[in-house]
Amino acid sequence: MRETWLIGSNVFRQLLRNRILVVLFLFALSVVGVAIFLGDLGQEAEVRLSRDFGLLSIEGVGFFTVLLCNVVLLFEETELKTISILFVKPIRRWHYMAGKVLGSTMLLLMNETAMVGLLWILARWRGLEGVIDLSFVIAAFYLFLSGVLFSIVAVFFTIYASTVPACAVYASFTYGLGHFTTNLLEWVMRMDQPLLAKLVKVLYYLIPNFSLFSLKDNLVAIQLLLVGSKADYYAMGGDTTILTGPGSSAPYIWPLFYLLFYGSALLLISLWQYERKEY
Amino acid sequence: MESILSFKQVSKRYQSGDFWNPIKAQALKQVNFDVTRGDVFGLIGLNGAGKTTLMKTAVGLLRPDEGDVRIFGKSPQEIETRRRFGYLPELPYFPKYLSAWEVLLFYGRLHGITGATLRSRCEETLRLVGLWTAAKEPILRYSKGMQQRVGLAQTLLHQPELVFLDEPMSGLDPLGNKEMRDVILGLKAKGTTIFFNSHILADVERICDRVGIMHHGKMLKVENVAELILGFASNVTLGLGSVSDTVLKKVKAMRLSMRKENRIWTLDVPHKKLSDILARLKKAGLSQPSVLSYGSPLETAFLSLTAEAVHA
Repeated sequence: MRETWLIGSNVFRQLLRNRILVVLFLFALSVVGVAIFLGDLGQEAEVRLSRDFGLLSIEGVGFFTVLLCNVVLLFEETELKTISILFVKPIRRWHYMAGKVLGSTMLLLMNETAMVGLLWILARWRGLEGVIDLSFVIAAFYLFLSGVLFSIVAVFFTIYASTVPACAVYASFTYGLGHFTTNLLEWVMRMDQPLLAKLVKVLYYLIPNFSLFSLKDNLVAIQLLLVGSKADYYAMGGDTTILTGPGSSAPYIWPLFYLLFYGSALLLISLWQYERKEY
Repeated sequence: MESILSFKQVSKRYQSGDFWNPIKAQALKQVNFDVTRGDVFGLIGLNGAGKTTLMKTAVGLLRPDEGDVRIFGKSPQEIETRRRFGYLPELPYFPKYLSAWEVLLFYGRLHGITGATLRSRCEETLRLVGLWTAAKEPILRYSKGMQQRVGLAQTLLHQPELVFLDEPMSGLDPLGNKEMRDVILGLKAKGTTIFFNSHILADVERICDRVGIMHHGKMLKVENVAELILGFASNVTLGLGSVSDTVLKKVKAMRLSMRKENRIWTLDVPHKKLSDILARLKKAGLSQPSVLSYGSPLETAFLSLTAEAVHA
C-alpha cells in the first residue's frame, strides 16, 4: 500500500504541475462567460441552465483529465523509458498500476471539487439560489465515479493500443458507447430479433455502462428520492432500469456496486496483461 | 570469487510482423557468463548485437525464453534482489515538471529510505554527479547530459552493490564523459560491481577489468581486458581500396581477418606479421594497401573477433 500511495502521490504532483491548472483556468473562464451570458434569462431558467451546464462541464473536464492523465502520460512513460526505471525498483507492477489510477482519481476529485466550489461562488456572486444543493453534489459525485471507471478503462486500453491517438480513440469510443448501452438494449428488446437481442445483451455486459453514473437528467427525481418516495421518482419519469437493477432499488447504490465489481474485474485483467508485458 | 550475476544458456526471441505472419528474431543465443563481485564488466558489440536486450534481461525487464538469469543467486524479479542493484537505461527520461531533487526523493522512498537519511543521501548523490547547484530546477530546463546525470543519481541513490549502466556516456560532452568515467572509477574503488555497455571502446579499455564481446546475440568472448588486448596490442588496419574480384578471391583465400566498411575491404593484421602479410598481398596482386589505423588494442580485438564471426 505504501508503494501505491507513493506512486499515486507522485503522479498527482506530476499532473498538478503539468496540465491541470490550465484545465481549471479554462473551466473557470467558460463558467464565468456562460454565467454572464445567462444574465438576461429569468431566475428559474438561469438556475436550471447553470446546474445543467455545471454538470456538463464537470463531466467534460473529467473526461479530458482522465484522457490526459492515463493515456498521454502513461504512453509518455512507456515510450521514454521512465517505466523501465520504475519497474526495476523494489515495487510490484500492480503497485504501479494502482498508483496510476489512484493519482488520477485524486486529481479528478480535486478537480471536480474545485469546479463545484467555483460554481457555488459564482452562483452566490450572481445571487442565484438553489444552484448548488445536495442533489447537485450527488450528481457531481457520480460523475466523479464515472471518471474513476473511465480511468480504469483508459489504463486497460494503454496495454493494447500501440499509439497515443489509437488509445485515445478506443477509450473515447468506449466512453461514448458506454452512455448508450442501456438505451440500445431497451430498443433491441422491443424488436422481435432474439439473436440480435442476445448479441446486444453480451455487449451490454461487456462495455462499461457509463449511463449508470449520469444522474444529471434525474436531478429532480433524486431530490424526490431524498425527501420523498420511490413512487414519486417513477411519477417524475425516472429511469426504471436503474431502480430495478440487481442489488439495489436506489439509483445511487447500484452504480457503486457496478464500479466495485466491473472496475475491479477490468483492473485485474489489465494487471494480468501488465505482468506479462515486457519493456 | 563470488558470482553475483550469472547467465546460463539464456536465449531470447522477439516476435514482430503480423499475427498471421510473425517474424521471429533471435536477440540472444544461449548466452553464458558470470560477473564476480567487484568486477567492472564491459559489454561491447555492434548495433543490434543484443547488448541492451542482455542488460534488460539481466535486470528483469525482459524474461528469457530459455535459460536462467541470477543476481545474487536469485531471480532479478524478486523485490529483495531489486533492492541491491541499480539500473541506468540508455538516454533516460524523467517527468519534466519535477526537479532532480523531487525525482530522487521519490525513488529514494520507493527504496524505503526516509527522513534525514533520504535528504542527505539525495544531496550526496547529486553532488557526486555534479547536479547539486541545479537540483531544484525543473528537469525541463536540463540538457541531455544533465538528464543523464539524474539517471546516474537515481541508479546510485540507494548505494547498490551491483550497478547496470546502459551506454552511460551517451549524450555527454567530453568533460561530462570524463566526469562519468571518474564516477565509475570511484565506484570501482569502493568495490561496487559494475556492468556496463558502451560504444566507446577506449572507455571500456580504461575502466573495465573484464569484457564481453557480443555479436548477433551470441557472446563471442568473455575475457580479462589485459589478456584480450595482449594478442592484439599492435594490430594495423589495412584498406584494400578498389580491388578486382580475382584479387579479392585470392586475399580471402589467405583467411585473414577481413571486413567490408563503407564499401572498402579492410584487413586487421598483427604488427609482427605485417611484413609477411604485405608480401603475400603483393603476390596476390595487391601492391599498395593503405594503412587506415593502428587502432586501440581493444578496438582491434573487437573488430577482429566480430569479423571472424561474420566469416565463420
